[in-house]
Amino acid sequence: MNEADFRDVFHAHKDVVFRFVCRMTGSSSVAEDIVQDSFMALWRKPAAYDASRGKMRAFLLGIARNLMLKRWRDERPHDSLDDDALVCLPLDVAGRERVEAVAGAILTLPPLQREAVVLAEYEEMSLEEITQATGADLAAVKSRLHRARQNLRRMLAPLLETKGVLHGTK
Amino acid sequence: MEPNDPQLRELLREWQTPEPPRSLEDRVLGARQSWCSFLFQGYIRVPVPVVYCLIALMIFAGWRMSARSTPSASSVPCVADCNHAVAGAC
Repeated sequence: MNEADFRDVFHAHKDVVFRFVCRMTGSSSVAEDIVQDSFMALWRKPAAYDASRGKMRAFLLGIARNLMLKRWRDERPHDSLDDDALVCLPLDVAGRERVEAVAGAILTLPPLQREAVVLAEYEEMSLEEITQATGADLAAVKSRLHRARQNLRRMLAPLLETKGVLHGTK
Repeated sequence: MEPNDPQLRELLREWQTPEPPRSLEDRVLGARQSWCSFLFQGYIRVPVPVVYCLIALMIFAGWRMSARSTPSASSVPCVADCNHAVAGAC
């Protein structure tokens, strides 16, 4: 990969990687660091990208994801990445902005559920692309998405009800 | 996300992230510069305590050098206006 190629890849994918890390960490400054490290990893080892195994977007998101999870493990060595039994309770939305409540709900999810829902919902990635980015199998991704959706519906129930949708009736 | 959950999707979409800052481009594309260009255009971050230590070292080194380059009066051998046979006896 020459400099021009790298520059093109950076301009084509910097936004999606930045958005992904922002939503995963809730911090734009952390996102800047992770995005930089992700692209530098590609620059140092361009051969690590195998086009036959998926798109560049999924590859870069996978690097960013691994860097984030490493950081997560360093900061919270005893916390589980995907707590199956976690049942999130409805958020107290009184006095909170809707956007703030949504961000809070996403950031409350365990990391593996969070990445599944962020990639599927915000980046509109297919299940196959999510498996490429996360390295998880299809069944695991489906399961994480399902649990993430259930948890989000529970946490955001007060806001969904105010929009005229009764929680759990459909 | 299942496509039959439009209300939740609509609600989630209300959370927008900021645009990546322009400085990010400098950080990523600038970080790949060669050593040659780094010598002329690069910069490094230095922790403040390290700066203090460097300043203290420079002051100490400067003081030592000035102390060495200024000989004391007793160590200067008298050359001019001296009639002694042995140098330094005056």
